[in-house]
Amino acid sequence: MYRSLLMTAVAISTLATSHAQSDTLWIVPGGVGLGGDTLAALRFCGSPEFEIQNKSLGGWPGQCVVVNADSVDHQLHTSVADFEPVDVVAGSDVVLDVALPANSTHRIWSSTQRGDLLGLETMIRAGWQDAPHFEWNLNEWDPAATWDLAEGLEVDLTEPYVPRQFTINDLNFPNTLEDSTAHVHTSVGEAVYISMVNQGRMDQVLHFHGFHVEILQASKHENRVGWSKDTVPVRQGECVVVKLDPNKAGEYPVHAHNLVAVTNAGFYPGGMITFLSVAP
Amino acid sequence: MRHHLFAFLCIAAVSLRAFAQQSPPVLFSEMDGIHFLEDGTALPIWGYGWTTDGFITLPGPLLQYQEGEQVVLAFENPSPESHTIHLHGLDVDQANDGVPSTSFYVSSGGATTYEFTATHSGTYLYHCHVTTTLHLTMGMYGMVLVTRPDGTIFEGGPVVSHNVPLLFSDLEVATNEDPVGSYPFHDMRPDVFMVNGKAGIQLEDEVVWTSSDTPTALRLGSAAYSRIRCHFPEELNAQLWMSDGRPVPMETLDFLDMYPGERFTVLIQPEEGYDGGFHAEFLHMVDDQSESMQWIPVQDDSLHPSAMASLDRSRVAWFPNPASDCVHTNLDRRCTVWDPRGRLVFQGKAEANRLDVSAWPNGVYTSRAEGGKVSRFVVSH
Repeated sequence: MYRSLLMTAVAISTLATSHAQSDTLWIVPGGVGLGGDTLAALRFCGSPEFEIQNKSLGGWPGQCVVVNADSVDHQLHTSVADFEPVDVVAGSDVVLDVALPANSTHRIWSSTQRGDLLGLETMIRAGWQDAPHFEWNLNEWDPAATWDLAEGLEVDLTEPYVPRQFTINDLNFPNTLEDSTAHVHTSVGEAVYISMVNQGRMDQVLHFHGFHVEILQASKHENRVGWSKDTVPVRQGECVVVKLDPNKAGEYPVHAHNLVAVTNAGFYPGGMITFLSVAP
Repeated sequence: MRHHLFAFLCIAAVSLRAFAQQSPPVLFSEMDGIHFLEDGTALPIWGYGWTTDGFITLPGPLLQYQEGEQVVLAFENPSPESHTIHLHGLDVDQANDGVPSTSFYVSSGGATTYEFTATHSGTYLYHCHVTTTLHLTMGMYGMVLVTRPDGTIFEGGPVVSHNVPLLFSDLEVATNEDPVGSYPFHDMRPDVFMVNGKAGIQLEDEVVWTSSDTPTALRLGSAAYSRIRCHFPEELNAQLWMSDGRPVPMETLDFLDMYPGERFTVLIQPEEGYDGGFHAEFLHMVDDQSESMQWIPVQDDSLHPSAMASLDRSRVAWFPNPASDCVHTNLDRRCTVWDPRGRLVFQGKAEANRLDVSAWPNGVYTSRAEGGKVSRFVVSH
């Protein structure tokens, strides 16, 4: 059944090629290998071709076209206040028009269980353009559940949830180091911004080795804006932005301190680990 | 002649003591420790201890430094596997970060020093960063406290009467009993929830003493797998002042959420005669389900003398420590002694308050007086 869905998706995507690719997100089903497991997946892609990672928009143009090349309808949500969810029917497209507040990071996701648990989510952000900006979409995965969803089954969310894979930008360590938006490269005195969005069902908390960071946005811990921290919680659905101003050179890990999340299928090290590479 | 000999011995003793005081303490790691759960179960742990004590504890010893101090932390690893010390939150350089892939391992039988400047007063953690998921849950963690000589918690901050370290953690009994067979680590299900290594009735001894005229600083840190929610009753007048070793805008608290690896400094100042406490709730990171509720007693220090006398009566002290032939106890009560592997080696009332340990193997022995607290002594032949 899943193969037929894939074929349908390819056919739909062929019909929808009239959209300019730079301002279009394609909802594309596929499969990914992750830390020794194989998962069914849904991704926002930059073309009709399935991509392992959800597309990073690198900022937000204000609007974009979303083409649904999946076999089911989706309802798209954003974390922006007062945003009205947008339905996108299978095989059709919609214009996603979102007015972002200045200097803010938000998430986009599909509220269908299939979309949410197969990983159809990315972030949008505006502002903070005076320094390089890195993006960390955090998520975790139960491979068996993804295949149930791909087959059209429902997942019982009241059952104990024990994810096996943990990712930053849909990659787990060490592959995170190959992702230019996950692996921070900077120099001493060269500040960077990092937007972190928790797309999963598990609270996460990231520990920065070597440095404290300034919290600029914490959508579920608003009292913490302005705090200087080395360990930063990112709750389920939360959008957090921090500023790192490195004062010394070196290679420093950043990782989840919910320590189940630094594993791949139960083996350490893996999961939500990336690095800060600070040149002198 | 006898007077000269006595004088010589006195001078030698003082000199030796002075030498010992000048020598920096050495932290060591071992993998053969025992930790007693609330129900008396002896659980294997890995952990840290001071070489002068000769045994490891859960959590490891509190490391205390002064703000601005150039710290040289000596570390020895006689255990059979490699370990490190990661100084969590102290923003040390790469070489001293304790991450094997970017810093170095301390192999079995090895020793090293970690060097850093304690730049900011505050509350920090340390833990092993080798196979962290396993080594941490086995017990390889502790708290670091950086204080200021003027009693303020940070420059320009409030003065406190004293600091009370409260390190929250948890463990999965099955993992500690069989660490080799504990894979996979993504499915860690802690079933013991602790404050300073204690849970339930064990925490009756962990009284936070307060002063009604000066705030007491709770130094909170989490090495747990859960979110910790501290529920502060209004009578404690709890105020949040610091997080992760940095000042934050003061907030009055009725509760505080603390995620794994976070630290907070909370000042409390109940009124004179206060006798209460607060709950620490362990919440699951997926569904917020309450996993455990621990009660931390808080009492005003006007209640201190009688309470302290009661506590002192319940702890067995063994001397000499280390011992080679026999140990003596101060306690005229029944007690139980377990060997380094947690096996029962003595139960009853020590005859003439003396135990013959001449045939006991070298190691750290744990004892507990009936209804009292745990203490340890070392047998070394």
